[in-house]
Amino acid sequence: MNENRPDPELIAALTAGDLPPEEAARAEASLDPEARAELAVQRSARQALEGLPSPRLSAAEQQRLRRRVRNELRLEAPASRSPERSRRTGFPRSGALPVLTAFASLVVVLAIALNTADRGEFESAPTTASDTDVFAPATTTAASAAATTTTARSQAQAAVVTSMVTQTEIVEAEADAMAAAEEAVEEVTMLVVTSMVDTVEIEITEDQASTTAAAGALESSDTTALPAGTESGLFDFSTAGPSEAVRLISEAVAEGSSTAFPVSELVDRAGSEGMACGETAASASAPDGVVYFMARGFVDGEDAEAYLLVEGRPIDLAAGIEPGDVLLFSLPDCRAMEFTVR
Amino acid sequence: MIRRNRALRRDETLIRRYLAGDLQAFDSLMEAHEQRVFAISLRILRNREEALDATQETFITVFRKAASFKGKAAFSTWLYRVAVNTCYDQIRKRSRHPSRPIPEGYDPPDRSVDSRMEAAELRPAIEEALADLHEPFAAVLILSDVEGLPLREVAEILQVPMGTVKSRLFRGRKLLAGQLGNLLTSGDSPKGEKQ
Repeated sequence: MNENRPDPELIAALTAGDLPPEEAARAEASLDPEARAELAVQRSARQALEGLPSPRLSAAEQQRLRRRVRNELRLEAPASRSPERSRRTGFPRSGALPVLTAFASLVVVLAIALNTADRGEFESAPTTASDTDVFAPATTTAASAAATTTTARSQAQAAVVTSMVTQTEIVEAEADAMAAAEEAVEEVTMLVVTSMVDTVEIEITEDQASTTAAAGALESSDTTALPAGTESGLFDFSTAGPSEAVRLISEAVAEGSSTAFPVSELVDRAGSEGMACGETAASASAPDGVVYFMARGFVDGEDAEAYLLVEGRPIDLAAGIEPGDVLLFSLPDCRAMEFTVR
Repeated sequence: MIRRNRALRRDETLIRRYLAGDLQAFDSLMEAHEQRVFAISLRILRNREEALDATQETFITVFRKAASFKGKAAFSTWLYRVAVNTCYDQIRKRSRHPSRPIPEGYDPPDRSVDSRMEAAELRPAIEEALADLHEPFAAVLILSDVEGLPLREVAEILQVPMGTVKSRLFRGRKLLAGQLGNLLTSGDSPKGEKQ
């Protein structure tokens, strides 16, 4: 390793503030201008990110979130009820209906008995005939009305219970239907996604026939069609299949079809070849970097540019290309794309 | 460290109590983690409604699988890993470019949040630059620099080696600074250092 190159571990430690103050001060004083510049970049970026306010859930969003999660997990609302107790509270289930009916019947019997007793007393006591006639039927009517009311109340309660049971079944059925609908929507979404991917692939094939041929040549050993470090080469790979990308680039380099040049020439060469991301690639490298490959193509179906850029050491294909050496940028804005070899 | 250990023990206790049927434990766990899960989701997805959905989905998944939580990693690590994966699933379902401008309504409806910011005028530019980074870079920066999680936990959440986290952090910051330009303290282009 080049002793003059800034130690990335040291820069990371200084950025994170992991070193004791005196040690950090000594280490920082020993940095050369290049390392200082790098440290400044790292610190600036970190401070900018640390200063971002954290988005927060509003109170309403919090409540909604917890309610939905609770509902989905079929948990009871907080406070007094436990899951077991809640099943026993509220309106009685249909199993209690016979008890209610029996109770209602008992009330009716008592009412009739009371009515009979009352009539007996009235009969024994001397009263005017009109009073007897008036009160006896009235008492009977009141008792009957009470019994009827109680019976009606019981029947109404039974109807409510039945209705609640039905409502629960309806809600459960609706929930099942919603879940099924969601699954269907998800399936349709995936079909749409797949269809869109297929469409993109078809469009690429139809509009870029020569591109396809060039990409196919890249996979073969036809070195004459290989990128040779120029924009004429095209590639097409997916970040989901990184080993394939590394293999293709490795082959291009091994077969000598790519011309290496120093990174100091990258911007001019990329510009002359009509490539947009030379400056971005160069900025990610130290001055002693060497460019072994650069080409336009497609990554995950997007227009992109790839650069194989190695710093401070000759490339050793036997050891394999290191993940960090391959730079991928999506167009048109040269957004960096991750590229990890597993 | 002491605060972190206390948080770990608290979460483990709450999980056990939740599994034993203590619904108050459910609320306590939600309260302890819902804000951060939402913040991570929103930063990755950059859409408030989608972030709310992802947050909901995360907690549903975690509570449903609570019985299978072995405690090898911290509960929070597992929770945030589910959150990140849920967000990535959401992005894949979108079937369009993941980087978008910050939509209106990015801020929460109530303004009771602390809006202290050293350079408030840079905030939109920083958010944009963060959004333009590729997901693996952005995820590391969000978890490490924005949310302040230790690198070891970031590695566990993302299930990548520590070296990969450091590398992505290093390069992600460099790319972010490059996009912002005015954050550089010198006029020179940033010069990199390979990990």
